[in-house]
Amino acid sequence: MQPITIRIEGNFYDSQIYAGYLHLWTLEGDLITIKWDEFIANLVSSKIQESLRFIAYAAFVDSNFFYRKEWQLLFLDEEFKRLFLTRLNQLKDVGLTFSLDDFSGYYIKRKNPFIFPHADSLIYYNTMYVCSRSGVYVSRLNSKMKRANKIWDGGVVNMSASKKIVALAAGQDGVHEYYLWDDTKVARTKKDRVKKQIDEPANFVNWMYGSLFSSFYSQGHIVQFKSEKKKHKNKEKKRKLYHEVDEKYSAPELFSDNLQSSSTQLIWGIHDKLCSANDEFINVVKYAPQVLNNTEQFNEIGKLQWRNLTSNSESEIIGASSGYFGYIIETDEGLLIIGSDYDKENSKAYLWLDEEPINWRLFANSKNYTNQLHVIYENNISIFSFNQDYYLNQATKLVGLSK
Amino acid sequence: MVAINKEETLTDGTKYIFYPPHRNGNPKKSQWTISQLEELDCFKTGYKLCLSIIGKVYIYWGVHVNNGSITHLGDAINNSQSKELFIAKFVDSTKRNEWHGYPADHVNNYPQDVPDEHVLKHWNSKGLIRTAAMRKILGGKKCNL
Repeated sequence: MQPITIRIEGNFYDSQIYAGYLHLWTLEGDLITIKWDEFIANLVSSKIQESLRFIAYAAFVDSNFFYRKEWQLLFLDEEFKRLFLTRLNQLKDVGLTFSLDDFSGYYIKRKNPFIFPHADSLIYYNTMYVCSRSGVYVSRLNSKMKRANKIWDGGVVNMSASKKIVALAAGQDGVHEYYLWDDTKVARTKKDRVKKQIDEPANFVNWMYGSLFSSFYSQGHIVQFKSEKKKHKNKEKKRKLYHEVDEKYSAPELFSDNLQSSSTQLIWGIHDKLCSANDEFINVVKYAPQVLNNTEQFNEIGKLQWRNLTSNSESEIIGASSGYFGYIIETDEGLLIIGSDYDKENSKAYLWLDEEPINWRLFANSKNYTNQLHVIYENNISIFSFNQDYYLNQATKLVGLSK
Repeated sequence: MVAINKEETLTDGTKYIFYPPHRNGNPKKSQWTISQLEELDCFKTGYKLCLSIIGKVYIYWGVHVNNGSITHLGDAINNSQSKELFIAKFVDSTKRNEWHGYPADHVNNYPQDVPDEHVLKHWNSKGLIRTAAMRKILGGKKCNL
């Protein structure tokens, strides 16, 4: 499960990738925007042989490419699969390390218009959101980006967007939603655009399909919503009329009693997977909100050992997340990536990065970059591309989100 | 041990009050582990720094520096996700230049106990707080020094 890696030297703090552009916050207070797709097409391609360019494109520009149905059929051909794996291995061996000078003509550097340093960042509907203890700030994505507007005064530690809602984890102040639409009962005025949905503390928030998940270490909650839509005059699209809490679940209770203990360190949920990590194992519940019977929406599908994959037997979990290619666990000593192809027969499908990162980020909600993991270290950003998930059975996966 | 009063008045008239609940083992309050003299020194340094960076406000921040490195200055309450605390929060709640302080818990009391971004950046630029630690503090995550 060795990834392909592009390394960019520099002192960075955070990164985002969206619609062909890579955005990097520097420690010096700049916001650098790189024409990522163009860079990959031209500069990287000039460094690698022609036979690898196709793989490089899929690996760094279009992560959805190999998930398409026709490729699934092609992966059944063992000969093709062998060639695919051979090309991947060849690309892994190419040194892809760059300095910012190599990006000349491919990037712009501007003064960071947001509060800095921040807690989290997000790009959604061509708008950049940055949050910190002092509030939430936004700026439309364009070449200037001279000013960011503050949309909320509350301190926010983590954000996640879906269905024109930005969910805001506000620490002790619970979880709030910021509505992008402006023609509903809940958001008639700008002031009404933020609404508290979960009272319990939260430092992690994400979407499990249309449901909102939040957690504060071992405590987590899933909120399902009911909404009504109606057709607007002269508009073909139905518009949301309201969005209200329907059901709320305490996440720890969704794991069977024998799995729940005081040793639970962290619970997190994204899309179809709800994970609970204790000192040794990650327990996994699969979420299927389309099932009408509430009790059958959550099914425990198994567990896997994580502790023995790290270099330290006592390190605490600091953070975690899920991508299609696997699970990520951050400890105070490094990052553990457990690949979606990890199982008892393939117990080497993991990667332990034995260095404390400054920051790291997955893009599970993006269109084209779901296979990327960005890890920022003291003097570089490492952009990892994982490509082992395409030929796995998505419906039966224990590790990683299902496509 | 040097005897110390319940409060100290600095040369510019600023008053610092040693708040007992953060030293008496109260399970609901974070507890100082540094001496009162060190607490006062932490306030003086933090006051001067924050005044220059963020101006005249009623919440300031401090760290306890020993031999050029930040060391822990307090313990979190029992059921906190944090254990050892290393940032002090100072409050002028009466707005009459009468301050008291306590060890801040950036994990359990987010965002109230998270220092001002500019102050954190200053500590980072002086090499007192690692960039990774700065990100964890702002992200409300557990953090070692």
